[in-house]
Amino acid sequence: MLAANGMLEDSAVLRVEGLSTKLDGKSIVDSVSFSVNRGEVVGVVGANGSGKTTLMRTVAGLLTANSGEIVIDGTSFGHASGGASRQERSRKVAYMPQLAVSHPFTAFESVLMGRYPHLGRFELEGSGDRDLAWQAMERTSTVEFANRKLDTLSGGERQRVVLARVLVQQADVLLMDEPTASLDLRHQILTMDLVREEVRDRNAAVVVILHDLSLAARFCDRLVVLDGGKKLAEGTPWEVLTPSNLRAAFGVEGLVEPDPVTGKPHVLLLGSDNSSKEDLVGTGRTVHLICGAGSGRELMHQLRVAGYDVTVGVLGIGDSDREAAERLGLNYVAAPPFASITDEQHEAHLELVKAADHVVLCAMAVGLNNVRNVVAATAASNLIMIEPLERVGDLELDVATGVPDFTDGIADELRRGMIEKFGEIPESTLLFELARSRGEDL
Amino acid sequence: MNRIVNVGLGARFVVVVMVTLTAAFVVACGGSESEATSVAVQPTATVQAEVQAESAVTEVSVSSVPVDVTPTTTASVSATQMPVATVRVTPFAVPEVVEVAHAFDKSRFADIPGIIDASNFGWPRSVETSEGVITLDAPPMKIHSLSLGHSEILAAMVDFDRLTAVYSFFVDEEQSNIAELSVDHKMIGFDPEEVVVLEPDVIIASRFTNADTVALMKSAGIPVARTNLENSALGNVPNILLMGYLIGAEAEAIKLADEIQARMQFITDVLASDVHPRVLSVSKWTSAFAAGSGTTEGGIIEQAGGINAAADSGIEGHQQVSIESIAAINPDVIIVPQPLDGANTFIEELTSNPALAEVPAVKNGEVYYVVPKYHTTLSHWNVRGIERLATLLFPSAFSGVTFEGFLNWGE
Amino acid sequence: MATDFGSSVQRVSTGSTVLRRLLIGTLLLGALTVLVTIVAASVGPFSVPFTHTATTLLDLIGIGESTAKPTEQAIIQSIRLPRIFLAFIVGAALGISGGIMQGLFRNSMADPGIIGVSSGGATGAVIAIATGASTVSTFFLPLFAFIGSAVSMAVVFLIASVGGRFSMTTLLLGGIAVSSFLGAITTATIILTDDLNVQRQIIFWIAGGFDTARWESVQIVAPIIVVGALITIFAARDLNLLLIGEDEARALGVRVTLVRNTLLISASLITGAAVAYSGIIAFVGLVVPHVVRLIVGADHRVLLPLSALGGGLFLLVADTAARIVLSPAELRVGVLTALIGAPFFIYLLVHSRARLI
Repeated sequence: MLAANGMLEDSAVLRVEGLSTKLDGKSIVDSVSFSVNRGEVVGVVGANGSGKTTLMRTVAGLLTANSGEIVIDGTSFGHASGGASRQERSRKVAYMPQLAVSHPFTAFESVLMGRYPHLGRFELEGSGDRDLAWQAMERTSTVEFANRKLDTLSGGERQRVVLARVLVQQADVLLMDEPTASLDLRHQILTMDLVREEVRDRNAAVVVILHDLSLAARFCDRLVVLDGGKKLAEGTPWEVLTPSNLRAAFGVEGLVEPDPVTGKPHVLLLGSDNSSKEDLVGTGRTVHLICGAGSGRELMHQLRVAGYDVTVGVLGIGDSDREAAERLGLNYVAAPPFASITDEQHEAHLELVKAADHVVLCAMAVGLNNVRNVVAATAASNLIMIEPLERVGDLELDVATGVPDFTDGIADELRRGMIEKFGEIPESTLLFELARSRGEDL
Repeated sequence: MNRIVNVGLGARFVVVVMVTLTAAFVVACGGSESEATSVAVQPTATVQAEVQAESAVTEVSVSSVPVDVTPTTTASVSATQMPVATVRVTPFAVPEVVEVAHAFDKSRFADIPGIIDASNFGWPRSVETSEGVITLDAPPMKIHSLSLGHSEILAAMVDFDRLTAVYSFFVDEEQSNIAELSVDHKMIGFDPEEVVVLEPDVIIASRFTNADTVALMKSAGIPVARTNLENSALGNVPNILLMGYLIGAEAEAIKLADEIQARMQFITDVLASDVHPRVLSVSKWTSAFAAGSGTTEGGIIEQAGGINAAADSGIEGHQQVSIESIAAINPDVIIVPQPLDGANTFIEELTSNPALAEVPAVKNGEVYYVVPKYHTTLSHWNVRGIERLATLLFPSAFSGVTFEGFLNWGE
Repeated sequence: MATDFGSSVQRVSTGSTVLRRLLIGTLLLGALTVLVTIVAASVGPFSVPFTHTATTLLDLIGIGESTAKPTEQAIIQSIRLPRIFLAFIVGAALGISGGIMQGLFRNSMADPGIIGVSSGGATGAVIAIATGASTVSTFFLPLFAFIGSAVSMAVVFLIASVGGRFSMTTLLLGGIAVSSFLGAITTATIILTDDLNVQRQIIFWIAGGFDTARWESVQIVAPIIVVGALITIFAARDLNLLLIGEDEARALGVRVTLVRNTLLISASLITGAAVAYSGIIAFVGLVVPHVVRLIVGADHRVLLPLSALGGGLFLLVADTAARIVLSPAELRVGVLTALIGAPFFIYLLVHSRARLI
């Protein structure tokens, strides 16, 4: 994509290519690539030690990359030293650190320092610079302590002052390392609103590290998930914030559902694998899952974390759900691969269905081999049906329920009957449904 | 300047008793080893008295003390109700055995402060200095002097070998008048332990000696006399006589005193002039220091017929001055008593500075290097400094006068 | 519509701008310095009628003709003025260098000698005095002192750079260690020397003073200090950014390592030059930047130039007092800086505790 003038032509204002950074010989960031367009907010999420801050400091030019390339607004800042001057870079990239160091300057002086990259060595701040500083302080509501020294302010107040300074720098790319860390809820929202507004008004780009995944999902256009220095996933919040990514990147179980207000993904954290099982909603209750081909995997994890005893219906060898059940040590009925369910297996399955407090039928594809799983579901008195993530369109099959059916409509018919009786719910609300019914029971 | 007065009478009493006991112990050791042991283990009044009596007997042979003389320790001893005086008198019924080697005028010692019994020229004999009373049993053969001035005086009165050791700065040709004598002498450092190891019979301290050093030496059982040194040559005569008495060199002390007095008289006689030039003694050690009132250099200036210009301008002791201060002091003569290297640099600086061009000393070329050893140590050698300075200040009055060397003190 | 965090608050006054503070401060301190210079040139053990001083000073700046006698002119021109200049420029060096060190180390306890420069200077001077080199030429003492400062600074720098990663904490601790070591050498020299005069010289040199000031001294020391001061003032805005954090400074375009090393080295060298010609003068480098910061704030673009002027003025006042209180004898100026400075500083501490925290 090299243009004639040798510059990289790119819609992205920031492009990171195969960036690797080592600290004390230890690899912290390992060939990470991503790009940010103007008008876009990209969140970087990941567990502690996943390399988020190191990645951001490398992009900001505070650390030297061992390999890879950083292209900002068409100018390349390779891993080798040199390249464009620091001041030039500082006009393009602003960096807001995680912790604001305390120092003896007043808040106003501190904000005004954001103008330094735009001033000559002996140039003093003019009234234009001062106006910008005032505006930024008004926007961050830090005007009231403009004359206070920074070391007399609280952590949150200090963070807002630093935010004001970053705004004043008027850079194309804003790198923000947990800008909401010390803020109360209201100021978290206000800060992120400000960031969005800055992106919109100045057509800037923001890369922001956030710990609060829901906040990240709400304000970021795209998310980059880091795990152990590597990029685990990148995409829209809906694409990225999946239970399995949560498990892989953070070691937690979580539900992702639409926020009732914004419609953006809302992450409900259930706990980690080693959470205490006492006092959980599912303690002492059994849920039987009828699933297959990966349709029940997430639920198995989530139900276990919520304290339920989980049993699983007939699963063939090689089925990814069977692997999950095996890993979690669940009680399940096993079948050989690609073989029809035998009478014996079906009997065992019915035992589990009857013993369970709840039976859950997943929206898995059904063939002749496993159609008896759906049959077994009909034996349940308190069935919960999961609606498919995407309704399958009109294929050669009968897909009235939107679930792939390879049984000439047998399964679909059965399913339809059960839907009439029990209804369907989205997968992400299963735990709520179970908890609600538990509440009714009590 | 009696330090002890300052610590109160009670303390003084304790010190006197301690010194008496120490003296008794020393006496006992000198007299008889076995008796010394008994003193150590049974320091009761009775035993003490007996020991003193007996040891006194052993000393009679070398003593020229009249029998009926009561030791000066009486006052303090009776205060502790030790019947020393009585006991002591009895066994002294021995005739004079040995006279001192040569006769001298005993009356010269009559009014010397510190001599407790100016009629006692035998042993033991006692002197009182600011360190209290010490009694020596016999002429001290190992004398340790802690100051250069005292060592110079002692060197003039006794064989230099009786001085136990010298210090490193004694060998400096420009600063010390006994440099040649000191070169081949035993030299020690500043650790008090090195002095104790020498086992001197007596230690002579000066007013500059650290109190702790003196206390350490006293606690090691060595008698310490702290004698003054005066800035004026004549003022030092009593100190010289006291030291002569203490070490049994009375005749030599008188001789030294006589010579000092004679030489000073000569200068006084010659200096009939009413003119007293204002002389500034200044040396430069990184910064310049002027010698004001109460300094050796100042005393020499005054005795040589000059006026100490620094003292005249209100400077007390040695004080830092600037070139401008020298201009303000405006002396007729400037003398620089410091080693020649530094002195030459400084004199060059003084004579070339335009700010001093109008100062009479500079204008008239009266800026002199003077040998520091005559001006900075406190001893009879100051007389030499006075003679030379007087010649410098009053060349016509002293024209044709040649000052003879000191009698037998290595000049 | 811009997001607004809260109720709209009136813009409060944030004091005057950098330029105004700098101008007002410079004018005020400059005027005071001129005034004190006139007083300092008029007083001293040698009494010169004021009209003579005044006409001599005016003559020097090309107005009228001096009515003073040649000696008086010489006193003013070759004794008092070089001393005034030296005291002022050394005070300026210590003030500016103290301000830089306090900024670099983010520590108001830092003084110009913090990385061993003063102790190195003292050791160099002690060597010059003890070996007798100081009596050979008047240039040797300052030369040895300056070499001592430079060597100790280099050693502390090496210590802090071991392992390829520079650490300010190691620099500080290395400075303390090297200072202690050099202090021990100085003390040992004082103790072990036989010559009482040498001991006295060392003690006097360490107490600091300007009694030996000559135009030659000013000619040597002034260029070093002026160049060093200009370099540091050139980097003042970068020092501001360093103070809000190294990362922030880098992100705002500062070449942190270059700026920090330049500041450390120039501050140390101007301290070394000052120490070489004045001995160790306590308190100026510690207190003056502090006081200036209390009054004009922490912006180094204002703080450093005004600390220079304030330090120069303070030391000039102290040295003038040192010359006249015991006249014709004089006090060591290092003694007076602490005698005047400490009570004044305590007064400020007590009256502005809230602002200092």
